[in-house]
Amino acid sequence: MKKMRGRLVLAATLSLAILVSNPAAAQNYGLNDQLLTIDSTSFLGFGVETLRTGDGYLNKQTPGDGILYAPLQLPDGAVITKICLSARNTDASNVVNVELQAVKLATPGQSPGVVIIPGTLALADFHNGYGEVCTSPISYEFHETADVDGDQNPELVAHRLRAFLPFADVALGGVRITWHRQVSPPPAVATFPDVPTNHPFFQYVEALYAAGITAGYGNGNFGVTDPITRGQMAVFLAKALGLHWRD
Amino acid sequence: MKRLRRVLVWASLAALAAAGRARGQSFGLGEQGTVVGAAAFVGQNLGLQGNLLSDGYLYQPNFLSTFSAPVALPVGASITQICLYFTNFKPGATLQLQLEAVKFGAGGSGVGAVYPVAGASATASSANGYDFACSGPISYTFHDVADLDGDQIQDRIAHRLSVAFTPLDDTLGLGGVRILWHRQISPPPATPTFGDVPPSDAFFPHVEALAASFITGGCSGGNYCPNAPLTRAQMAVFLAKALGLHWPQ
Repeated sequence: MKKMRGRLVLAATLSLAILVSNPAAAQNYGLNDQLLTIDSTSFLGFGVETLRTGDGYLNKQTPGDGILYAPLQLPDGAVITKICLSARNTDASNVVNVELQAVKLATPGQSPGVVIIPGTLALADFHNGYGEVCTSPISYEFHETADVDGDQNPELVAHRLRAFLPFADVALGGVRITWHRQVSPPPAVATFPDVPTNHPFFQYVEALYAAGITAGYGNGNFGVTDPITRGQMAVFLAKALGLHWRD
Repeated sequence: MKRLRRVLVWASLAALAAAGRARGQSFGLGEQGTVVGAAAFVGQNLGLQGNLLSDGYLYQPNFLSTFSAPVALPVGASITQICLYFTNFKPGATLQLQLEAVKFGAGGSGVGAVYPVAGASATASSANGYDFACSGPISYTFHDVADLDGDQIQDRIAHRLSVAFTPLDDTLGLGGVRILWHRQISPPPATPTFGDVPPSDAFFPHVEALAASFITGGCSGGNYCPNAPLTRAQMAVFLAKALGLHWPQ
């Protein structure tokens, strides 16, 4: 019940805030709502010596501020809705934080640089031991090519988590990312005459076509209202999921 | 607005990777682009991370020449191209990208535990600053077991991306590597599972893939009933099993 309420609040927040243009994104489907936990062993920093203590947490050995990075890869179109940081902090004057960054992979004529994704800072400012802190609900669409700096010029981007450990009495446990897949936006022109742009199934049929899962009938139509056999279903599913490989 | 961005994205994609890009041909959750960022690379010999500077690129400390990052894709994934993003202002200097398979285990007669994947390489030799270099179109099917050394014994393998900096110079930077890939349906077995879906059936590989994944056990009597219509309820079972739905937390 509590979970349900959380979902509703989250969905309402998301749809109000950003996702008016893409209502599908506020729902969790497509292999489900996903939780990705990135352990502290994924974090590395240049010139930063670390020690993993018996609790599995990453402790900094080098004096001074420690900055560590962990790579993050998600499918194109994935939406990150929350980032949580697990940390240990027993120092009253220090904090641990993580945030999501996009590294622009420059090509000739484009500028390199690191862009901080707004709203992704999770700040552990408690001082009484172990704890978890989360961002407010966010809606960051993960793309490998995106205009992350707003210069109207999309760049290929690599994502990473930046962890900041300023002091020896703080430690990084890991980061938990909540995300889900989306159905991609449809094209401007319909592929199949029997599934025009105003058809309720338009976006979904186009997504199947763009992914190579269906090519429709030979006559150009998708056959949108035709019944399907078990054999045809097998083709859809096996293609869609890339089944079955077990070495 | 969204559409405009999408058009821009596509235009940019077309410009970036015009060679060998076959969108619409790939399936299995769609064509995938995986960007392995510089933060994923560590020094091959000492296991140290390079220096990630303010541009987000990895610069080598002088004592390390080769950096590697792990690559884990689903078994059966087909890699079609890899591209290296780099920065280099030094004429004559190069960054060499190579996808490699690392053999596990002691069995077999092969010499050398690291095997470069043919064609899955790119050489960055431009000295014009930030730039990228791509492999030609390739078709490499990703497995976690393969006979790498040709001794007729299947080896367990891991994959990694390696980038060698030549010469040792701390002005050469690695931005990341982009891998284009898509899933495939596995080849069907020699012996059919269902009496009514023989190897000659157009649906044979697909039905076998579902059976091998335990998504279907057929209809009854050792058959699959490929021509029987599907109800919405049956479709719900297929989808929920296939996608492993639903695990909220």
